Amino acid sequence: MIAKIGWNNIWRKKGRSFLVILSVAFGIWVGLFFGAFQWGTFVQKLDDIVNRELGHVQIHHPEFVDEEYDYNFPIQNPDKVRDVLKNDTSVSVFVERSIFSAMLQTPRNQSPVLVYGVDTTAEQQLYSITSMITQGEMIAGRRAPSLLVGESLANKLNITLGSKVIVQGGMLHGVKSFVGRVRGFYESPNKMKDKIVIYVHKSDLDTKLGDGFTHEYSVLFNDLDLLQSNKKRLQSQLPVNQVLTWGEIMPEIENGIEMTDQVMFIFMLIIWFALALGIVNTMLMSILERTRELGMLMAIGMGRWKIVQMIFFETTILTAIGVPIGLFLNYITVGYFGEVGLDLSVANAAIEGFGYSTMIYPAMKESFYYQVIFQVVLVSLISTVFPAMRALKLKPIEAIHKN
Amino acid sequence: MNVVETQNLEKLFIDAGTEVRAVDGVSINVEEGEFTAIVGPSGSGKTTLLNMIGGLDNPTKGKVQVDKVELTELSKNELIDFRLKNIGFVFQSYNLIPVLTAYENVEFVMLLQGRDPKERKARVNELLVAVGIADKAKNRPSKLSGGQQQRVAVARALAPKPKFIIADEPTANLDSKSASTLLDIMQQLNEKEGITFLFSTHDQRVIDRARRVVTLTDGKITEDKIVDV
Ligand SMILES: Nc1ncnc2c1ncn2[C@@H]1O[C@H](COP(=O)(O)OP(=O)(O)OP(=O)(O)O)[C@@H](O)[C@H]1O
Ligand SMILES: [Mg+2]
Repeated sequence: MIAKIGWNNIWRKKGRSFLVILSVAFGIWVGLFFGAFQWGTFVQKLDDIVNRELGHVQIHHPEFVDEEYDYNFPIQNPDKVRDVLKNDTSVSVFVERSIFSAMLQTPRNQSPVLVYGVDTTAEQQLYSITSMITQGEMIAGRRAPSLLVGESLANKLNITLGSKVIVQGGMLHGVKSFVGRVRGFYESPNKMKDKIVIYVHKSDLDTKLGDGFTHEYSVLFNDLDLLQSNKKRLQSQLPVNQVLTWGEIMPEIENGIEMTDQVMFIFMLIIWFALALGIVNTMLMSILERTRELGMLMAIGMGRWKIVQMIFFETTILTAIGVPIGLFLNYITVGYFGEVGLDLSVANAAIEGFGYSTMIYPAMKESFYYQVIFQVVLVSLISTVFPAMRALKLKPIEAIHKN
Repeated sequence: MNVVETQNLEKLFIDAGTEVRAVDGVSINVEEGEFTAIVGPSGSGKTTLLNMIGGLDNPTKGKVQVDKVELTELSKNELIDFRLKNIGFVFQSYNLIPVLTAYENVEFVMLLQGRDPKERKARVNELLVAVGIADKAKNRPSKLSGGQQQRVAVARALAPKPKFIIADEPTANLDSKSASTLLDIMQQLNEKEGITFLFSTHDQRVIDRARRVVTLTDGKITEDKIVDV
């Protein structure tokens, strides 16, 4: 009967109940959508930068990073490293690179660059370098090594296809330089990278510089969740090398993700606050309107606990109706934008500046559902406490005789 | 046997700095089966007295016993429970739960008491017939006239077979015909079921139906007479 009263009360003021249902649905929807948005962003960043370029871990000479990617700190034991990586079952892919910092000089300009000596075929396992080419080509084995330069760098230095440039590496510990010819331009989703990274075939470098150095092994694991333990194991097997995770190599990406986490958290706080306010308000109104009725119920012997039960029953029902509506809205919007993508370039030029893709594809994670539903239900129940307490404070006589 | 016994009952209100002695030393006994009216001008303390007897309000001083239980010694929750089990209420208005039907309203208190369904059904139907609302059992209060609502309220108050029923101006909002019907029903129940009624009223026609009339003036009993009918 309590349930029946509660149920009927809900339909007494349809507009008001609708408002509560709507705020619950909205809370669920916005919460989930932003979760999906954030997760989509994360996945995207991982994909753009980690899966496609950095790798989950990288192996270097222990001083290579500290010496600012100096050419003169190659991997001392490439055979051993290759061996370990080949035999490790958790490794899905690894590639060898000759990477070093250098100065790119044209007759008029110069700019610091990072030379990526790669095997384009091997890199294909991570990402396709050739598919990033916007103009020209990148053919191995020419007399002057073919260079692939980012569009933006080319613009900055006024480089045209066919330009000859000098690449001078190993600045701090013995200069190594060669003359290359720019034969292609590329554009990647990572705008920052386009200004810094130039590609050259590792085989060309080996011929030209004669050292056959490998500076970096970039490794992808089968399971990213086991990143830390995989890293530890590789490090212990390769004590003379340095194994770093992507987060350690590019802390700014990790920080960026943490920052979005915080923004998200604050955002969610605001949503929950609005939801709580809406529920407190409407439920309080509904109780104040029923002052006399509640007073009468208490007078004829309905205990306080029963009254509290009735009020909670009402919010519970409203929440229970709101949740699936929110889920449905979320299903539609995440489904839609998950396909089409959200273009953030207009909204947030800063993201682009950071070097990330500006198209975000919201993606759901199962745990979001539990989290957000749990939070919304919690918020709505907590917000009912205040109106319920208010109802308990009613004194039956005053309530009845109030006109 | 006395259903109600009060001794020197006092209620002091402090309203904007001035003291109002709404009930001022009332000692009254109500015996089982009485049909008693509390009368007196507006502000004489009728409502305040009935509230204290019904356990809805605490006396400032004095004692109230209902069925030998001292109400002033009960806690808030015990009082609610006591009211539920022993006292039926009929108020001037807002007696019924608007979202329940007449039938459900009558059943409600029995449900709170945890009576079994069979007993509830029999009792509710019996009472709805007694108050002449049987054909409107499925109506919500908004679909009943004021007089019909008060009759449902009487049935509701009677449903759990309380020790007595307190009715504070039950006819105040009713036209004279409805008032008279309600009084007929109350009287019948009083005679047939022996239910004790204690009601307050301004209405001379209602006063004429009472078998005992207690007059309050400024919170004091100024007259207490048994009427022969
Ligand atoms: N909660 C309260 N606070 C202050 N004064 C009160 C309160 N309730 C009643 N009073 C005062 O106590 C006195 C008695 O009031 P009460 O309502 O008992 O009279 P009554 O006989 O029922 O009047 P009526 O016939 O108008 O219903 C009045 O003077 C009233 O103003
Ligand atoms: Mg009164």
